[in-house]
Amino acid sequence: MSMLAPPALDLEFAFQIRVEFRDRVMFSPTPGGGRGYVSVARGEVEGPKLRGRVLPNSGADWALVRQDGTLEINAHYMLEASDGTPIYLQNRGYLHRSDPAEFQPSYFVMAPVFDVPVGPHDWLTRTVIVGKGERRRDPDHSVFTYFAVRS
Amino acid sequence: MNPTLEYEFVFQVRLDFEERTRFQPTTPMGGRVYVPVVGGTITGPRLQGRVMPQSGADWARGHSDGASEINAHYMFEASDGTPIYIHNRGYLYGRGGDGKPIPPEQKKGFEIVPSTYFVCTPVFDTPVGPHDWLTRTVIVGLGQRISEPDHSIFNYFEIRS
Repeated sequence: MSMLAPPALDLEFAFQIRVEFRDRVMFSPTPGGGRGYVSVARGEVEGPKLRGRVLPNSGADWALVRQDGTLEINAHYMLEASDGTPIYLQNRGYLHRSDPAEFQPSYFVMAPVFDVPVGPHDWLTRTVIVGKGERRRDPDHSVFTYFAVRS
Repeated sequence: MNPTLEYEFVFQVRLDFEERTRFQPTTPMGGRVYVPVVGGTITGPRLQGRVMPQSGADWARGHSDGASEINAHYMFEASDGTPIYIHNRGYLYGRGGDGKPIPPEQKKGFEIVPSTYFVCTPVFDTPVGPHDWLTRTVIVGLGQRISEPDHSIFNYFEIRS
């Protein structure tokens, strides 16, 4: 090992996104396994590094449902920062359940990438962000907690 | 609110390089480099093996602000012989005094800058079996560039849920 100290990550809590969903459609089987369509209705963004909202009806998750039961998250939607800046969020990651009957996934982690105009929010386009998700009911929504990986 | 994220160190990769090519002039998409992988080693608690020699490269894209978007494709071979495709994505850039990327016009070749951001989130594909956890786990890596000989060290962490 080339590092003397045990390797560690430097994670900084960045923001939390609450996303409400509209439709959940499963099309299965597809030649690649299965495909889910979960459309984004609305939501909020809160935290020390970004505040704003999820642009209503701005996209969806088109997750790939693999034969081993793992969902490959493949979501595209829009955020709007509190200063009006548009932010494209492309979310990638994995969701799986050790017990398929459980509502809450046993693993729900992602690493989104962003595109945003040059300006105060453009750090999102050059920073690795990782987050964990939690599903909630009534109404159907998820809460994503995102961290910036520092280097 | 003080949210936390659990993670665990899984393996370290040493990647050896020989040549680095910058596309000149820049492409319609901005900057582009070609950095082929010569070989390397994998050590650590969850994966051991080697980087298959000459198995791919990084075709990183250069942003207008000087940040580089890693886009690397190459092969691992686990110590049990299992092939593992790695597609690495992330960001690499030297930082100026303001903490922002050094602009493209101020870069000196492929110079290693003391303050560098080098973080990646690779995705993997590998046969069903002992290494297939890599295909369903978010992995984050911290990179470090080292010269003479030109190589990089990546420490990889599994993100827990």
